[in-house]
Amino acid sequence: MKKKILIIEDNPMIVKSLEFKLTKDGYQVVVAQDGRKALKILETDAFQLVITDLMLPFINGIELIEHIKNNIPELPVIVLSTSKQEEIIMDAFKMGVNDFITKPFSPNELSLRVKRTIENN
Amino acid sequence: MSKQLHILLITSNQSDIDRLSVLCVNYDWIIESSKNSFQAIQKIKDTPSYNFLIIDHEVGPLTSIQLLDYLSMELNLNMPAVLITEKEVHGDLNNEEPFFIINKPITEKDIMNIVSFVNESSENLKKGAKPYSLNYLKQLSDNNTAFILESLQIFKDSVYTKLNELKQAVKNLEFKTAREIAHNIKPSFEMLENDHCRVLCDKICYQAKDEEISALAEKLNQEYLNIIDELKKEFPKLN
Repeated sequence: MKKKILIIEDNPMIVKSLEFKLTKDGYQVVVAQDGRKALKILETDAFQLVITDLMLPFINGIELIEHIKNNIPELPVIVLSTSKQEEIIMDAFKMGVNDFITKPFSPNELSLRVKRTIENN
Repeated sequence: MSKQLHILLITSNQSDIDRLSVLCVNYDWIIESSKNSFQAIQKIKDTPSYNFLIIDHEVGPLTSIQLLDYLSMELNLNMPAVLITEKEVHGDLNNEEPFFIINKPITEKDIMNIVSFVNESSENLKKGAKPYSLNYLKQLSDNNTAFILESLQIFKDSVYTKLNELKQAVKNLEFKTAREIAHNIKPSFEMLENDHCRVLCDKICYQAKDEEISALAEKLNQEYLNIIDELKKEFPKLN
């Protein structure tokens, strides 16, 4: 059975690229464009990994991570960041995120980090 | 109005950086700086779209000439360069190279001369250069044409929408929103390897004062339109 990844990202080009690459790598991908939709999806569906942006509409990435870590602590989280977001990435790590990837991501780096994070959990 | 130029200033001397920033305030220049030549090489590798370099002749660890040699020999980059120096420079500079030498302190007149020099020397280098590259999308998709075309369509539509939102945010004086929009669309430009737009987005997000955002947003919009014009030439099917 394919491992399932929830992508929470509101830039359509990044979403398209992540979907393409992760599907190619053999994962099942579900996309939420904002934090509110992501929470709804997480209530009803189980995932092996969440990949989330930090600046999201309605509920920001940090709030979303807090919710995940409080309610589904076993679910690993990879943060998508842009350069110049060092402080907010540090905040995310303090909350227990597993890894981060800088946008636009390197395809091979994405594959490796996703594989490693899922395997380690 | 002068055209926008993206410049890397390589000097360890903070007063040179401050002076240039003041002098070129009326020019449409984006200036980044590196404290030494190694840091500069890394920046140029990361951002190969600088229009020209301004190098302190006394910079280290590689001297200005060694740095330009390295760029030319190892990275195949022959960038126009302005050398700033406190003393006469002899011998080791080849007049055939795209150098321009000015003595410190840099003056207003020097800036005008730099503009002429760069316009002349970069004209040939820039001919035929596109405001986008598909290398990233090709690498990501193993050259999947359908994916590339779909991504370009998404770029065209989504960035258009966001730029309209940006205009509206500026009009409504909602500068926090404007900054968030620039942050959101920055990766889209990065995926097409347009460094000019990356820098504009960064400026809007992190550096610009509220009153500067309107002009930067307009530049971003112009560059977007330029990218779309060029994309349509290569991909007439783009809607």
